[in-house]
Amino acid sequence: MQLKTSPAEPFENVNVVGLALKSDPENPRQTHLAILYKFHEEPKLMHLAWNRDFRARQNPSDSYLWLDLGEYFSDYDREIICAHVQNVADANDPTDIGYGFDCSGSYFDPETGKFNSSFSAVGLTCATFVIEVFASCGYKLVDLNSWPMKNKEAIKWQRKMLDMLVTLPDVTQEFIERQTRNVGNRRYLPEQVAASSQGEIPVPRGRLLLLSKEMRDQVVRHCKSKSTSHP
Amino acid sequence: MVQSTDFWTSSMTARETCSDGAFQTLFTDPYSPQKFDRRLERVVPVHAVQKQVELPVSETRDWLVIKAESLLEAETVAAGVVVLTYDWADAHDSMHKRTSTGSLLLDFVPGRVARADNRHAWLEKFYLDAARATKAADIYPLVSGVKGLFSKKAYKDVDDILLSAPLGKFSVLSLLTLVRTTYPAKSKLGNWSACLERVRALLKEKGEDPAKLLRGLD
Repeated sequence: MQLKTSPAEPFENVNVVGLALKSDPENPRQTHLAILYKFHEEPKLMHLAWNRDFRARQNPSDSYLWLDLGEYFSDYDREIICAHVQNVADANDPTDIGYGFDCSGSYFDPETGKFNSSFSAVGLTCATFVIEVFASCGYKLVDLNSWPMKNKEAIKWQRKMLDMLVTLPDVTQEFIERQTRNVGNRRYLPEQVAASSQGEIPVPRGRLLLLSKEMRDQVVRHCKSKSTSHP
Repeated sequence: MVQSTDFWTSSMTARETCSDGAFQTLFTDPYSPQKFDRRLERVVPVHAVQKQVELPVSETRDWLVIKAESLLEAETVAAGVVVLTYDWADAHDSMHKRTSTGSLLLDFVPGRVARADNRHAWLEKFYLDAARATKAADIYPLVSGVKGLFSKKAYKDVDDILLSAPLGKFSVLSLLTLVRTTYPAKSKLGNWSACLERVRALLKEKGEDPAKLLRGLD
């Protein structure tokens, strides 16, 4: 499956709602996921960029590759999801959402679209943020329990992220303790979540491995090519 | 809300023919999901009213499903007749110009008037456009309005919407939005399951595939 590249395929061509992937130029293996949506005419990105850095209406940049939701989602589904995404954008403040390794499918209150403030120590990644937003409007993208716990690669990455989190000035002791305990939790990769949008949901991990690797390779290639053309 | 049985008398279904015989109101049970939006109603002129109650016009306006000032002739409103309109007039079609919006006269117990919920202006506005809603921006007032009620724990208000919403005038997207947006609180909403069944039947009537469009909601 070929991910779409702007400007050849501009973001405004998204069929109401889709997903956008990019990787970090300094570490191309580190990918990032956002929801691409078009509530009015202009396409916007909604994503969790980092701890307490929720971005609801960011203009997309060409560093992202993008994809529409798959055919499993009807035109009606797309419009409903888009309206819910807009509601999440309106209902939450930029600093409402922490970064961490939680994922339950219920951290956004499905009745209100608000990130549940009673979970102040809860943190999401960019990928689990997307899982949680979709789940809050009734679309469970992945079979959460089909991911392995205590995966070595995941633990290594989580420790690295935790080392960065603890240096932040505004994190609480409760938050650090919870996220420390979370090391070893299931890790849902951005490209796996992106791939899950292409078939019948919820998708178990095993069905996503090939497509997600294909997506990752494309994103990494795109990132490297951008770096080469813009040193 | 209008559909509460407390405000209807047992003679309601007997009012099929008015005193002059010129008009009739054929009314099917509003509690029957299958028939609710199929009823046939015709205007009943003021002189045919068998029973009048004295209520100021403002009271009449208070009914959620009445647009008294826009749907009823001035003389009717001035007479202070309590008329419950069981259908939504489309502000954009010719029905708006006439009084024949399908009105039903009924015995009325002033002491038991259910005050309309004027807090939900957004809902009335949405109803006017619900038939033409095809985009996310069209349904957003319903999504944000319902979620706003959930934020205030106003489950009764949402439950009343599920019961009284003029689903027969809803587009497919409006129908799906209503049941999907309220789904997370379905255990707190006594009317949710009945609403889902009404939506299922209406989708079928519209030639849609309810099993596909409503998946995940059963």
